[in-house]
Amino acid sequence: MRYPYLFAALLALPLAGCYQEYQPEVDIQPVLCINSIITAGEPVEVEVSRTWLYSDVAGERNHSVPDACVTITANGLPVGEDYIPVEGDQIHILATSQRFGQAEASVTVPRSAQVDTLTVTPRFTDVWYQNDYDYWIIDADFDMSVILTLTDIDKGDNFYHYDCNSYRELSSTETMQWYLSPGTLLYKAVPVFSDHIGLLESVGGADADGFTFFTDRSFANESYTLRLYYHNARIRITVPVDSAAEAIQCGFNFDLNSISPSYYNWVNYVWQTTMGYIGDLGNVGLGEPAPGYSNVSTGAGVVAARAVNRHSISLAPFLQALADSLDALPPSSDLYMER
Amino acid sequence: MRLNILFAMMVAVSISLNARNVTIHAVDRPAAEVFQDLMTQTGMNFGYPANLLDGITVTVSASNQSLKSVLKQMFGGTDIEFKISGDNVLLKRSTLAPVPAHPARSGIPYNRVDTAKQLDEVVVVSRLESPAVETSEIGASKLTAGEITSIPVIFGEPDVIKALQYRPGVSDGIESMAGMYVHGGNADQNLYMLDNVPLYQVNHFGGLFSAFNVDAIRYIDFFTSSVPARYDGRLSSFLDVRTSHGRPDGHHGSVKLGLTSGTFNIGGPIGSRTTYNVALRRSWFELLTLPMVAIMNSATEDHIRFRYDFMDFNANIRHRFSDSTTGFIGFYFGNDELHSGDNSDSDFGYAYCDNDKYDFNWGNIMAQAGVIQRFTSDLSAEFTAAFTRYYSGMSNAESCTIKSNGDTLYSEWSRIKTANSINDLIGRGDFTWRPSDNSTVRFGAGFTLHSFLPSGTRYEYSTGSLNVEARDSTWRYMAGEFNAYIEDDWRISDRIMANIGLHTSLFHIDGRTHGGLSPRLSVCYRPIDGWAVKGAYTRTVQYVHQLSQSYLALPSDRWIPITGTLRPQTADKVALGAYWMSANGEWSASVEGYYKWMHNLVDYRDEYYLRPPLEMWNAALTVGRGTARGIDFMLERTVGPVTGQLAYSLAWSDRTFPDKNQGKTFPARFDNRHAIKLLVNWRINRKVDINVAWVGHSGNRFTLQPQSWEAPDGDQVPLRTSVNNYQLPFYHRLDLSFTVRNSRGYWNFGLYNAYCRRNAVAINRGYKTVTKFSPGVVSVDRYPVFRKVSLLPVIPSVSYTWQF
Repeated sequence: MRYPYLFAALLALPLAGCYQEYQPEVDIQPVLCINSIITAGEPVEVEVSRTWLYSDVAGERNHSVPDACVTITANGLPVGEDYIPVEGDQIHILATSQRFGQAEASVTVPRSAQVDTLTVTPRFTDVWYQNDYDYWIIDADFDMSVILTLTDIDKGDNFYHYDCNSYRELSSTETMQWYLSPGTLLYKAVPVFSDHIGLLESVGGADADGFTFFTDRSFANESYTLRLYYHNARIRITVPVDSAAEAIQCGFNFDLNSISPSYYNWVNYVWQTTMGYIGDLGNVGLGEPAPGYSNVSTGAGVVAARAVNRHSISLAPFLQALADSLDALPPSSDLYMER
Repeated sequence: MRLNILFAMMVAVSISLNARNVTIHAVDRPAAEVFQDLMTQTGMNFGYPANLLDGITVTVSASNQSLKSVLKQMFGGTDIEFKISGDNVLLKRSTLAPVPAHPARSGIPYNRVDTAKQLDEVVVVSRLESPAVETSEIGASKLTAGEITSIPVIFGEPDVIKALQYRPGVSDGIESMAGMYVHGGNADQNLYMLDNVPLYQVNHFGGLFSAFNVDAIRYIDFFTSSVPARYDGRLSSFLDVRTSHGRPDGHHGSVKLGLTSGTFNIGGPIGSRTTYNVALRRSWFELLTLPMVAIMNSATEDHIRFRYDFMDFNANIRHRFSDSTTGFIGFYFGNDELHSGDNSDSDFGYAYCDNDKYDFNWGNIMAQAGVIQRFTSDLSAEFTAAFTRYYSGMSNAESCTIKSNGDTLYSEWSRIKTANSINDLIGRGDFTWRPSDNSTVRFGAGFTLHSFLPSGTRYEYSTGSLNVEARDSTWRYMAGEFNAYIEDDWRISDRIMANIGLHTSLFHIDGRTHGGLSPRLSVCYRPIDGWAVKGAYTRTVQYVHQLSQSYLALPSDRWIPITGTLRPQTADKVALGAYWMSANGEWSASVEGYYKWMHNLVDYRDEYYLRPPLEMWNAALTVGRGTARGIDFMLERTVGPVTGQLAYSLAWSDRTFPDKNQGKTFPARFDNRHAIKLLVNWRINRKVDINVAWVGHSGNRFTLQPQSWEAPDGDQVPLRTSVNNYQLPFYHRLDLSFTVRNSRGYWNFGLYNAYCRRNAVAINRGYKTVTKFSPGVVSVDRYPVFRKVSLLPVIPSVSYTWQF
């Protein structure tokens, strides 16, 4: 939570001030914008648009460039629509328009991160269990410890993105209800997730909630262990008794994506200007305004790349063990376990 | 420098009735200079009208003779009479002299008309006593406490730095803030000294107030273009604030109650050889915030805490050990504290408790002790040992506990603490030697042991069995700095004067030693009486710089020494000036031009904020250069019922950094092309003064980002433009103050921004909403618009000062 008490006091003056609509006299020249998030193993998609005057409502609504022409080269060679990038490819994107000129950007698809070990340990804290009548029901809260050891890609600056999600979609039918959530990640427990947070933001209460991008600056060319703690994870399954064995075949995908520097800089920019004080200070003239991050030649757009390294961990063994232990208890119509 | 301050006072450092035998030899020396010698030797108070000694030179030769005898030698046969009364020496003309009817701009309560009281006035022993046409200094000025007090300021808080913002060539930065950007320099290029000891933190409340309590001040010396060799360590300006020592004739002081703070000041003798002065200032925002917080807390289950205060404390003691030896000790403590947070309790089956605490404190401590020793009538010295400490600490602690039936189900807490400090131990000896009547040589040497802690951060986190502790990799840096200087104030002839000096320094840090050689030269030629033409060259060297992400003075600002690949910042400056003063000293005018080249400047590089904060700070910086040039015009009237000054500056300032603005030169943020400053003091009668201050200048430079592009996530993002590409609209503001005296003190009423000008400090990107009504339908549309951000409307103030 960011709680800007400091600036509530120090920026009391701006609060006493005011905003007046103002039209600065500036000449602008719209330029091309290129956006592309390239994923190794997937086709390349490129969006080309243009910049517009901030106060130009029409430009805000429509900034397409119908005459844009895009050329993609990989490792110096032109590629077609069927091109599938692979790790290590050096991709160059060139967009041209008769009206708005040209823009270009390059990115290298990063090598995939190496995950040495991944250990997931759920600890059930609150369980509702039923295994008679017609339905097999389990409704459990649990904390989950994830220990992921990775080895840095190489000696250079490398950037990563961690993510966790259920690999089975939420579903609900007449005879079945199914829900799985990893709960709340304790971001503070992972120091590298806070690498980007400045001093003032830290002591001002800003935290890394939602930000799971990190760099290898603290473990360059070495191994590093992410110790991740999820709180209030939950699984809820209601199925006919004879479907229980299939229903517990669920779990989580743990992604450790290696990302390009432009990807990291982009998400970092978003954090700094929305959660940090850079944007606040610049907005009221008490600091330098922060321009948008871009690695495109015109200063508009982001061309980034990533390589996904996905590991799936099934919860079935844990659920089965839990059910077995509860089944072993004395017979009862309902079983309720509290930590 | 200010000739016509009506009753300029020179007061001895202590009283000794036995010290009235003096030794002095002078041939055609200015009487004012001889008086300074006499003052030092006798410790007596001298009072005389400021223009009494204009152009008067004296010849005197005396060895261990009584003061009365010496004064007879000096003024025998002239129309100047003197009277020794107790510890005071009064001088006046026996016939009607052209004494101004009213005091100079310091017309505020410090100036009273009856002579007996004049001896109680502010002590003035500045090296800038003589008028500009009689010295070789360029861009130097002296302000007394009275002059500072007379300038209207926000909340009625007299402020040293805001007073200097009215000097030509000084940009004020962000509205209402106590920033100072001198001749195109940066905010960290000004050396602030309290009794010649550096202070790093000179602001309260984010820069809204400066940390110098005017009640504790005698005078300030301010140098911009020609800098005495004694001073170095910053590129742009040197501000030496001299504090009061206390008066020997009894205990006197004042109590002031203002809107934002209260001050208490007292000084006087302790026995016959010792004087003291103590001044305390403290804010009382709590009177406003505590009831507000209590009311807010009474209406909700969440309890917030908020408290902010600042204080500063000055204390001085001087003791005269003998005729030739005086000791002194001084202490300063300035501190800001901000405490805030909230505490929320709830019970939804589980007892849930969430605590957040934010604590900030920052300030400066200074202590010094020294001895002033007069070896002979021509040679004296001041030996000083001092300690100055800048510190800022910030911490944030959060805890969360969930309980059920008294059992803790879950708890987590985290704490981040950061500390930033500089500790300086200083030892110094400063000598003054007068080998002849036409030469005053000042020389000295000193050593400073610096201890820098730019950023020490510790993070702790705990939840259940998990405990995390992390520290950043920045640790303490020790540095040694050696300085030596010599300068000569040389009166080559009646028409030509020069100040020639050299300051040398060595700065050792990180196993490397950096050297600095700072030659100084200023020459004055007086073609005819009342006119002077001057030229100067000054080189300055700076070994520390301040990193700040804002234009406020925040506790997160860090002073960083030169380490790694950084090299000392240097500036070379040439200046030319012409000066005129009317025959009666009523009017004076000057024009000064300068050109300054700054090297090895340090600034944040483009997108520095994307660098990891705990990375070595050098990684976020870029080293470049800057130039500044301009002309300052000044017209002053310092005598009469209406006094004041009118200043105009024409200036350019730019910066070039290889890793900022894509290597292209860009204008400095406070590159104000035209600046006009007007100060008027109208003394209506002995009880009422009106002070008017008007400032207008070209708008500050601003990085306007007029275009947008759509990001991959669909958000609008500002398109990068060149740095400081837009000039904000012309800035102007009028401040007024009225002073009404009574027998016990005086009231001061003020109006800041009297005509409520909404000056722009930024242009930001916002939205306006338009609500449309049609039958059965209400729609709200949002349109993007640029908005002009202004800070302060008209702000009235009132204060009362009780003097005793």
